Amino acid sequence: MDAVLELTHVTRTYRHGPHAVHALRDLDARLYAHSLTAVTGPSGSGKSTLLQCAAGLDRPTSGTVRLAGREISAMGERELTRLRRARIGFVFQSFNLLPTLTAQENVLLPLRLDGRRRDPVRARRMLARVGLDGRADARPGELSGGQQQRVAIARALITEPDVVFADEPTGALDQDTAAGVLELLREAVGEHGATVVVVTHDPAVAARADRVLRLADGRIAHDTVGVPA
Amino acid sequence: MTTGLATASVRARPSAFAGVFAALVFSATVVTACVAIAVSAAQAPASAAQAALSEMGVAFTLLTVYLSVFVIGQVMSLAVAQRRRESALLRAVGAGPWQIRRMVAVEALCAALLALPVGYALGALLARVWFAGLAGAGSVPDGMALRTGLPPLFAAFGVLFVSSQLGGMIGAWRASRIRPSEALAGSQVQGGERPGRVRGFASLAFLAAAGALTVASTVSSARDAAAQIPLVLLAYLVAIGLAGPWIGRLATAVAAPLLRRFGGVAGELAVAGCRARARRLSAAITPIALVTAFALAKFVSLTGAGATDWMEVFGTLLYAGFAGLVAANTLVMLVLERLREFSLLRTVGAEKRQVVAVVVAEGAVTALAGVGAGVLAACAVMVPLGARTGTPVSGLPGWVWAATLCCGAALVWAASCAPLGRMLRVRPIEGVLRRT
Repeated sequence: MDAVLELTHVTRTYRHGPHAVHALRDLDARLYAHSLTAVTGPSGSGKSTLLQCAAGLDRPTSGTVRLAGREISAMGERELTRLRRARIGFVFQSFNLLPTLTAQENVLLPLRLDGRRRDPVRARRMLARVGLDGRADARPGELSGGQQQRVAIARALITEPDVVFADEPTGALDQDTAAGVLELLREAVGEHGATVVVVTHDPAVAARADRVLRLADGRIAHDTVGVPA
Repeated sequence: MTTGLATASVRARPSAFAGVFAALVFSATVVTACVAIAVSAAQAPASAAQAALSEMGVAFTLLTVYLSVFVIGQVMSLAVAQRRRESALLRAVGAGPWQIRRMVAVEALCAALLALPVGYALGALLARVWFAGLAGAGSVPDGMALRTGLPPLFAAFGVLFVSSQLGGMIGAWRASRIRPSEALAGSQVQGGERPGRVRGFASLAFLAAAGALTVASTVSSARDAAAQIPLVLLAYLVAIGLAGPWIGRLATAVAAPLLRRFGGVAGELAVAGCRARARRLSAAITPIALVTAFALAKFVSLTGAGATDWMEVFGTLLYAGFAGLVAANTLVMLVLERLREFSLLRTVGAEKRQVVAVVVAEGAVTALAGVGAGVLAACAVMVPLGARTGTPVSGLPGWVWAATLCCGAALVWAASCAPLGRMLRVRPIEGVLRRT
């Protein structure tokens, strides 16, 4: 199997005045296509940094990151931006959507930013897939937290990206709503062949993952390949 | 406890405080300069030149005081509105409406006290330049000396204190009435609240009052009519300020087809943004309308002036500069609050130039609404009153109109894009995760 995402000797150090904080220390990881990987670990273990480096939102201090065979750790800002909108999907814990746009417009945003024509049919189909048919014209303020996360997932999936990165996507949701959102990510992998990387504190998310990377102190402490329940 | 809240609230959104501080400094500067000149002229030995200069000094002082009250009130209530979410959080943890109001009052007072010495010093300097200019043109009456002293300080403090408290009260009244749960949701559009009916009626009332004042001035003497012009203009501008959300909506509707057709995704985002943020758009429209209307009215009056009058020219430059700075300041405040939104756009894949394009497209709507409203206000005043004072609007050459419109639009674009350089250097993910 080919690795979609390959991190080699990735180190990320932040400077806080005279102190250096090692968020990632010489980390190696290979993630394969069509899988759901959960990244867990205590606060400050480097989970979010790992996700940001892997997604081209941050640059490692040293080491390389390759996404679908292209080295993104060497790309310039503009190239990374184009890569993000065409090849990567994002879901954050909150504030995922532009409050001034409707659900449908939010979903279409990456395509529109890429200069592609407006395709409402495609957006509606994607919204239906995440269980939001009929809410295409609602603004984020009119949707519940769970519904907003569903819109964010629809937006992340619409470009058929190489990898979808999610940072605590269920962190702000109640248990039932979180389960629904998790199910959606699972479905994206199982039925549509997506590759999803989720940073999470939530044991329920980890339990449904194909693979769990447990981080401690900027390194991978456990790498468990599991059979999702 | 209240001062603790005030400090925390300033820390939470430093750009709002900085905006208020800047507006207060500008106001203190112009008030100090005008009062210094007016008082110095009044104290000079009596002569015809002295009387004329003194009268003009008083007129300028009154005008800058009116403008300052208007402008500070606006900026202060915008600053309070920008902190809607923080206020909601305070309400949620148990702060009463009166505590929010007191917090705003304390903050306004601190800002005024900090701005006063800076503005006073700048104003004293400006008065010197003004006086030197007058002396150079030979229009200083015999025996007149420039005295800065205490009267300008008291005047500036009075204006700053009263108008910042007043503006804060209006903003805080709204902020303290929100339900805690309502504004806490992160998905709320900042400044998207629907304008109320009271606001609509108040706007119509001011419009009627401005109309009545215009009619009253047309039947008074030419001299009185000329003196009334700034006051009538200001009445129209208050009406525009109140009607801002509706004016913004109208301008958006007019510009939308063009922006959607030729603006690409940036145009679409701009239209959506302008539609959803009517109140914020309104805050941007008013100062642009102010500077446009006053500049045009002044240009029309100047068509009748004979030899260049230094006092007149300097005074005009002074308040045009003041209004321009205030407008720029407000626009910067409005852009600075949108770091999260721009950063989110960038994480989703917007290039920097696409974010700039959105701001430029929104600026087109702001300019259309602001400059348009300003031109209408200037015409509403100067068509009847210009004829009365012997300077008809038709006397203003076409290129002056064109230049004013271009300057208005250039001001909007320059000020809105000024903070973008810094904001776009923030890593997108940091901007999204940042709390404010």
